[in-house]
Amino acid sequence: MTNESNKDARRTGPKLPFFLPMIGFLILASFAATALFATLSGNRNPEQLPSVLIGKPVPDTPIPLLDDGLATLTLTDFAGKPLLVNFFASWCAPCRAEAPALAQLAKNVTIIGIAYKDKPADTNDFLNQFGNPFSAIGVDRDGRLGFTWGVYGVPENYLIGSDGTVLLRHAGPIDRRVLNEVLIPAIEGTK
Amino acid sequence: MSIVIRGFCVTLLLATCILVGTICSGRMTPALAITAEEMLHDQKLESRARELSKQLRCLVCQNQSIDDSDADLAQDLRREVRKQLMAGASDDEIIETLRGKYGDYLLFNPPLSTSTYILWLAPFAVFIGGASLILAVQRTRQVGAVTGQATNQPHKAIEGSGCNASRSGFGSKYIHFTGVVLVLVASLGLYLILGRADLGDQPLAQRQAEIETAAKAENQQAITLAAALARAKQRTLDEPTNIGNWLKLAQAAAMADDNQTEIGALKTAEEMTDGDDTVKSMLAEALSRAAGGQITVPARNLIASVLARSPNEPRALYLAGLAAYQDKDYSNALEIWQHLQSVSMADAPWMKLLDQNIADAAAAGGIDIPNRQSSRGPTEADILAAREMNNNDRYAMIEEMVNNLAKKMAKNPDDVEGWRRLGRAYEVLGRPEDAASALVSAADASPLDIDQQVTALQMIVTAGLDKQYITQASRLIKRAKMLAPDRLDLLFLRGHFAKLEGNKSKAHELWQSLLRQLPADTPFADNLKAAIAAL
Repeated sequence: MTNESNKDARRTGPKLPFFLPMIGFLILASFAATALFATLSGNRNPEQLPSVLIGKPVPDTPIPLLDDGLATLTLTDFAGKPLLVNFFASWCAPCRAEAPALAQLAKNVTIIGIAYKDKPADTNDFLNQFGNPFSAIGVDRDGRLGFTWGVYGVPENYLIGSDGTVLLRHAGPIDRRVLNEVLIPAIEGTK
Repeated sequence: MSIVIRGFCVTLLLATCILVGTICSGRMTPALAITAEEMLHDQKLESRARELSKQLRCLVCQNQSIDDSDADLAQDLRREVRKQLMAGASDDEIIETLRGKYGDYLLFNPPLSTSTYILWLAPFAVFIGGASLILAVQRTRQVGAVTGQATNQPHKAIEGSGCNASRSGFGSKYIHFTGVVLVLVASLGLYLILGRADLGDQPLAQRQAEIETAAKAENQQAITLAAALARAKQRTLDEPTNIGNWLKLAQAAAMADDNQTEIGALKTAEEMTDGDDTVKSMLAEALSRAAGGQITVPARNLIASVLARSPNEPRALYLAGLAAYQDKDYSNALEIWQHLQSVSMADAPWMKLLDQNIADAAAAGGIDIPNRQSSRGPTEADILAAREMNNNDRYAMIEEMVNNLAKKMAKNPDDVEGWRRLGRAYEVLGRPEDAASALVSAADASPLDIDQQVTALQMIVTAGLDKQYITQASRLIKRAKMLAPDRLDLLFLRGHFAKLEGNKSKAHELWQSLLRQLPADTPFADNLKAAIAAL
């Protein structure tokens, strides 16, 4: 090596080894950035937690009915056809947002609503105002049933297969993307 | 220093800037955290509950523990933890139950599994990768430097001026080594302090301050109570013949958890009053409290002697019920407590606790609570007061109260207790039709409460409104029938309405079955026989 060539090398700035750690950092950072952008664009939702119920039989707890406090509803009785179980409440704003999506889904699948920690009178007002897509409505006044299901916030939707196993949970409102890309294909898959 | 190390330092600096920038740009609004409102009395259980709560993630606000979160769900989970602790579950059992519902995500210390390998192992992989990279580059540089030094002197001079890494000799090597070790230790330390996978949440500084304030306040309260106790003691010394002083001393001692002083003061008061029933009952209560809530034999003797003289002494009745409950004689406990309920004013401070105890005893003994006479409703106290007034004033007062309540109920039709009170008030005012209507609303608002259905039905019948209210009545009967098909008063009512509907054979059947279950030779049985005959 001559003096000349060394000077040239120095003028071009720091060499590759200087950048090696930075490249490593950039690779790590790009993972984080991908996750962040996916979250911001709505393709990834870190609030969507996996449900313990997936692949397990639907809980067979009898659920009191909204219209009649005495009669109960047992989800295992619906075996033979797919079911969508929707936990909702009149006090929950996203539940209002997903009302049109549920109305559309009601054409494809039987939907059971469960009014979570809600006063029956308020639930009825809510249904009058935003429509009633449900084939039956159960009541979970104190959230006990929600605890059994692992519900951590309304709305939550569970798809139950015709054999009575829980196939899918979607926590949070059903938007257009979830409707078309997640729920409708999953419901078609059960048929 | 080696060029790689310098690169590393610059990267670290950049990364820190990015991290700090991200954190600062994110909205860091500190929520107002509240302390767990549902604390347990048992200090040991409560501290276990707090420890457990810190290990559990609130699934709504996902970076807070349920101990630290205000979310509704966190509150539910805190209650669930405490409920299971009370039931005697171990910490592991509680965590397993909750994990069975909500999955591993609930745990701040997630177990190693296929889905958490990356979480646990990636940092170490990155660490080992980074360390070996530094060491590898370091080695090549040193080999290169040594070679350069041996073959080409000018090269060394240039390198030396720009980069001290090439200065050879033991000292510089030592500096290199220290630099590398420092960087590695710093990154490992940073991970262990801030990034570990099993790290809990970081409670808000504000929250910590709140806990400290609460602790200080508690301390302050203890000091105040001790001072009050000392003052009360002084007063009994100054004026030992005043019974009030001794009772106040007992009260101050009870507040300060000084059982012995309390018992001593009450014993003195008991002697001075020559065995006053209230004082004796208070003494029995203090003795039980000193025994950790167990009703002891001396306490039982006191209670028995009080009840022999005044069978309606509320404190003694309460303790007698508790004694029976502790003996696992639930039906007796139930009977005593229900008696206390019937002799107490509706707004007596112990009524809520009593309701709870009655429910507990009924549950523990597997006893249905038939005919629980709900003689409650704040109107009772008010009606008593009203008796002192002249007729017009009294009527106006009740009227106004009832109208206010009726307005409130129109807005809030779910309030069972409110309907019940309204129904009772109408009954007092001599408006049976309104009373029946209010009680039907109460029954509709609590479709699972059999007593509510029966009370409303009884009101309909006694008010002679059974024909107008036939649809409501059949609805109530349908519900009540499902809840308690064998209830005797219901059998009568069902028969009555079957008769009204013209279904005489059904009425006959129901009343006959009622008659078989009734003791013979009572006036009611005779009346029923006559009614059956009249069918």
